[in-house]
Order: sequence, then C-alpha cells, then structure tokens
Amino acid sequence: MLAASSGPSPLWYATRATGVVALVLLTLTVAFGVAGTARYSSASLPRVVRSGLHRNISLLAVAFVAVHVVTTVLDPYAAIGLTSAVIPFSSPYRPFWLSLGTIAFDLLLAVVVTSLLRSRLSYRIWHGVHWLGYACWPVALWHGLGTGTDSKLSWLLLLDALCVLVVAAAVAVRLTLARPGARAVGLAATGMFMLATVVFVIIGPLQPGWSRRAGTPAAPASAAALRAKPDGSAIGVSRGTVRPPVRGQEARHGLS
Amino acid sequence: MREHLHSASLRRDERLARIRRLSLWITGGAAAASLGLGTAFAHALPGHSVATAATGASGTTRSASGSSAGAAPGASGTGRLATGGAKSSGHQHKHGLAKPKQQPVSTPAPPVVSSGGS
Repeated sequence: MLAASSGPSPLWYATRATGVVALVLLTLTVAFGVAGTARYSSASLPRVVRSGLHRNISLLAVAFVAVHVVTTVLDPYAAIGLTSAVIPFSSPYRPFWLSLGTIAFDLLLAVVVTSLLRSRLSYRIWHGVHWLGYACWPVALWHGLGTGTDSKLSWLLLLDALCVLVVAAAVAVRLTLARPGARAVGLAATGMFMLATVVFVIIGPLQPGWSRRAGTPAAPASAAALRAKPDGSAIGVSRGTVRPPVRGQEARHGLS
Repeated sequence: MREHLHSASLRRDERLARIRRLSLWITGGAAAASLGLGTAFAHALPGHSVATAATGASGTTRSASGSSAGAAPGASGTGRLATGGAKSSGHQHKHGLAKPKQQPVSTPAPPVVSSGGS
C-alpha cells in the first residue's frame, strides 16, 4: 500500500522504461528514414522492407510514447496533467525539459496524422511535416537527458551515446550523397550537436543540484498532499513535524 | 509473362512476410526491453527496496532508511522538506544511515493495562 501511495510506483518505472524504449525506437525510425532518403538498398534489406520497417517501428514508437505520456500523467507525484502533456511550458515541474518532451510528442503526432492522411494531402505538405518529424529525435533525446532522473546511470548514458552514434552514422552516410557544400554544413551541424550534447550532459545532469536548476518545484504536489494529511500517517508527516520523505522518493523524481 | 508475374508475387509476399517477421521481433524485443528496463530501474535507482521495506516499518524508520548506491549526490530536494535533525544529504546517501544528531527523547513507559482479571 505504501509503495503504491508514496514510494516509487510501478507507474514511474513504466514511465522511465517506455521513455527509454521509445527513444531507441525513434532512433531506429530516424536511421531507417535517413537510409530511405539515401536510397539505401541491399539484398538483405531491400527498399520495400526498409520502408515497411520504418513505418512499423515509427508506429511502435508512437505507441510507446503514448504509454510514456499516460503513465506520466497517472503518476501523481509531479502532478503533470494531460494539458501539460500536449501544451508546452504549461507544467510547473521542470518546465523547459518537460516541454521538450511535449514538443517531441506534438511533432510525432503531426507526423503520424499527416502520414495517415497522406492520400488526402499534397506531397509537399506531407513531406514538410515529415521533415519536421526528424526534429523530434534530438528534442526527445534532450528531454530524456534533462528530465530523466536516471541520466546519471552509466548504462543509460551508454545507451544514449549509442543512439547518438547510430543517427550520426546514418546522417554521415546520407551526407556522402549530398553536394560538397551541403555535406560540409551537415557534417558540421552533426558534430556541433554531438559536442553540445556531451557538454550539456557534463555540465548539466551529471552535476549535483541539477534538479533544482532544471526547475523541480520545492514541494511537489504529492509531498504537499502528504503534509496535508491530517492523521499524519503518511511518510513525511509525523505528529505535526514535517519529515523528509523517503530518499528513494526524492531520487526517483530527481531531487538531486 | 505469367511466370514473371508469379515470381514477382512470390517475391512481394516474401518481403511482406519479412517485414511482418522483423516487426514482430522488434515489437517483442521492445516489450521485453521495457519490462527489463523497468526492473533495472527498480534496482538501480533508490527507493524500490525502501518502499517495500518501509511497508511494515515505523515512521521514524521510514524517514531514516533508504540509502542506495545509485542515489544522486548532493541531493538538494531533501533539505527543502527536512526540519530539525532529520536532514539528509548526498553523503549520507552514499554511506548508509546517518547517525541521529539528537538522542531520542526518553518518554515514560506506557501505563500497564490490566484486563481486570477473572
């Protein structure tokens, strides 16, 4: 009962897990999509198979993102409402970094909806929105690094680095087909992005006090609710004295 | 001509089957990875064992327990809600339970309640 009410709930673990898996699936989607623009084809991965995988994996990513959003909204600790899940900068909990996830979600929704309505839209509109969808990946990556309370875990950092390398490799292969000027600009932009990501991780989430700098409210909604319990039976309240909550409760929400 | 169409149809079916097979593998892998990651987070991040152990513990024990190897150093959120001697820090997160700064207040023994005999 306690674990469900005040300790790390299964919802939080589901949020984190589905978020990570969604990022990996988005990485595969972007890699297959970039390979598509490069007209990549081989005997083991014909064009139609690559295109079908791109479509199916992107739909799977949408499903995982949907579960990620739903579990986040249902998890009562940070009180992130459904509005905050679709409207950027409307949540008091880590507003900027959470909004990156909101923006990525909105972009993903736009790509999915326009893809489903592709037969009714002009190619130019569909293609423009689809290109916007590629922005979803870096935004989602930074959302995970900035909001994720588990960004300090080495194996998760390794997974993020692997995702970055996969996309960078796909972009590099694609740029070999581009004109020399565009190739130089693209490679420089890719390198800058990778460098910026590494610098951000070092000076941001890996530093102590990142939670405060990221914008975590001093007393999240659930902590306030715990204090407000009149019987004092909940964690954090005992005979009128406010006690610190269970450490795991802080760490799970990144109060670091 | 008919053989050519038949061959193209077979190739198309084979490729669609490959897409389906690979998609199923990826879906299954993603679901398994999601479960595995959830379990990994439950063990790597502090709190899981705390909440489980705290279920049958007293309030004091609950507030004092919960150190874990993955705890974030320099936790600043703790101090915001802490009062008195119940503060905790990232240092304490790393090295287990913190010693209480105050001796527990001695309280008189609870009155002996007798049931009244017979």
